[in-house]
Amino acid sequence: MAALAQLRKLDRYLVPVLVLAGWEAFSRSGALPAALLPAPSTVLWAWADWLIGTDGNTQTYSAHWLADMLASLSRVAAGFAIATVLGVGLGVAIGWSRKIEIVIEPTLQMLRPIPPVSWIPLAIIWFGIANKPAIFLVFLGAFFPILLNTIHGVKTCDRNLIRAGAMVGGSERKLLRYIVVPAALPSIFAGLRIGIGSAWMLTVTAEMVAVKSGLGYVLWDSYYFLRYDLVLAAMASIGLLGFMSDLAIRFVMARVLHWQRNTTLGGGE
Amino acid sequence: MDVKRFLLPILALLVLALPTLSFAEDAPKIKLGYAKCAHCTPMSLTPQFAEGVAIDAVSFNTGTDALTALVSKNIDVAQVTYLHYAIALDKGFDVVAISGQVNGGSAILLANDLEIAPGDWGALKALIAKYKADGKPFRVAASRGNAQDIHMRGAFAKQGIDINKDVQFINIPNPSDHLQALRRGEVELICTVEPFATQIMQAKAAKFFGFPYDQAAGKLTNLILTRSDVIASNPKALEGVVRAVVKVDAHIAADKPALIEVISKVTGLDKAIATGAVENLDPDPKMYRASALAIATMMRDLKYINSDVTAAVEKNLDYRFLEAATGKPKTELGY
Repeated sequence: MAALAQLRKLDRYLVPVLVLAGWEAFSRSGALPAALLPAPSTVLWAWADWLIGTDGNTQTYSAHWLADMLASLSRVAAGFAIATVLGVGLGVAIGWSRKIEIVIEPTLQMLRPIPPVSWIPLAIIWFGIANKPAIFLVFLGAFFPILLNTIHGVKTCDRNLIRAGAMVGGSERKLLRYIVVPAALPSIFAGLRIGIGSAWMLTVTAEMVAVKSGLGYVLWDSYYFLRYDLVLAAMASIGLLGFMSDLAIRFVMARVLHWQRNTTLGGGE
Repeated sequence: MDVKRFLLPILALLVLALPTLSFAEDAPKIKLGYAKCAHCTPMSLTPQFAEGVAIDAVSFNTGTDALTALVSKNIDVAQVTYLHYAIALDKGFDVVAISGQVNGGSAILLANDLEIAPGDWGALKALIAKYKADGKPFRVAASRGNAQDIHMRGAFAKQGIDINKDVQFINIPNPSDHLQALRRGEVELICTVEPFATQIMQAKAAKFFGFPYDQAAGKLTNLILTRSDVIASNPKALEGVVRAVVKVDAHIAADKPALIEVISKVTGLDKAIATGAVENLDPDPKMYRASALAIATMMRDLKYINSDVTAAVEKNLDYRFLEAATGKPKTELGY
C-alpha cells in the first residue's frame, strides 16, 4: 500500500519526464541540427554556466544568472506593484460607483485590447530607454486582469450583506472596508494570479527595449547569436520564476482567505 | 442553367494560361528570405529579374529571423550579414555563401551638443579621455551583433579607443529605438544602420561624425547564404538566384531612384530618408574573403562566437554561382 501511495506521488512527474526524455532523444537523433534544437542536457549545461560559471560557454553571461534574474524580478515587481495598486483601487471604485464606471470604464475597455507590445514606441517616447519603459510594459500586462477581476469581485458582492451593514449604521467607507473589499478578495486574488503571469510574459517584450540585463534581454541577445540553448534556458528561467511568483501569491492568499484554504469546488480538503 | 455558356470561356482561359502554367511548373522554385533594412529591400526585386527560376521572396524583420528560417529548412536562400554567416558556422549549421549583395550602410552619429567636427578622431579621443577623467561614462550605443556594431568596434580599435574600458557600451537591439535614445540624451554616440542614420540626421536628433569603414572588416554588410542540400538538389536554380541578385545590384547601382523607390515601398519610409540612405549603400555582389576572415577573427576576439571559424568561413564561400552569373573568375570576385 505504502509503495502504491509512493508511486501515486510520482504521477505528477511522469509527463514532464516523458517530455524531456522524448525531447532529448529527438535532439540526439540528428533529425535536426543539434544547435537548432538543443537537447535538455545541453540547455542544462548552458544554464549551469549562466548560473554559476561552470566552463564559460555562455561567454559574457557566464555566472550572471542571479544578476539577470534580479533585474527582471525588480522590473516585474515594480510593474506588478503599480498595476496592483491602480488595478485594485480603480476596480473597487468602478465596481462601487456607477458614476465612476460611466466616466472611466469605456476608456479603459478601449485601451484593454491594445497589445502591450504595440505600446513600445510610445513607451520609449514617454520614458526613454532602460528600466522605465520596461516597467511600463510589465504594468500594462498585469493591470487589466487585476482591474477586471476586482470590478467583477466588487459587483458580485452579496447585496444582502451590504444592506445588513447599512442597517446597522455603516458608512460608505466602512461598508467598503469591512464588507465589499473582503467579499471581493477571492476575485482580486484571481486577478493578481493572472496578472503576475502576464507580467512575466511581458518581461521578454519589455526587455527588448534597450535594457542591459534581465532574462528577457538575455533571451533576445542569445537569439541574435543563435544561442538556442541559452534562449531555452531563459525561457525555462522565466517559467520557473513565474511559477514561484504564483506560489508566493497563493501563499499570501491562503493566509488572507484562510476560510477557503485548500478547498475545491467539491468542498473537500 | 446553360453549362456550355460558362464552360467555353473557362476552357478558352485555360488554353491561354497553359503556357504560363507549364513554365511555372517547369521553373524550379526557390524560397528566398530577406530582412527589412535599407540594404536588404532590393532583394524584393529578385523575382522580377529572375530567369529560369521562380523566386518567392519573403521579408523577415531581421537577418536572424531569415537565418533561422534557412537553417530550419523553411526557405532555401537567405540574405543575412557576414556576422550571421560566422555565427551560423560557429553553431555548426550547414550554410554556404553564394553571393554578396550590398555593402555599407553604417554611420557614426554624435549627440548634437558635442563640439566635434566630422571625422576628427583626435577630438573624439580627447573628449572620451576627458569624460573618463571626470568619472562620467561616455555612452556609445549600437545593436549588438549587427554589422554596424562590428564596424564601430573595429574603427574604435583602429583609433586606439578600447570599447570595453574607455567608453560605456549600450546595446539598443532595435535600430528604430536609436533616434529616441539620441533625442533624449541617453547616449553620446551611436553607430547605426541606414535608413535609420539618415532619419536621425534629418530629424536633427544627432549629427554625422563619420563612416566606420577604416578597419579590417571594411564596409562588408550583406551576404547571400544557402545550404549544401539546396546546392546538391537545385544548382541551376541557385545560379538563377545569384544571376538575379547580380542584375538587381546592377539595376540599383545604375538607377538610384529605383533603389529609393524600393526602399520607400518595402519599409514605408519617406522618400527623403530613402534618398539620404542610398548615398551610404554600395550594391556589390562580390564576396570578400580577406575581410570575411577578419570579421570571423574579430567576432571570436569579442566572444560573440565560441570557436575559430576562419577555416569554415573560407571553405564555405562558394564562388561558382557568382562566376557563372558574372562570367568572371573568382579572383575578380573578392577571392
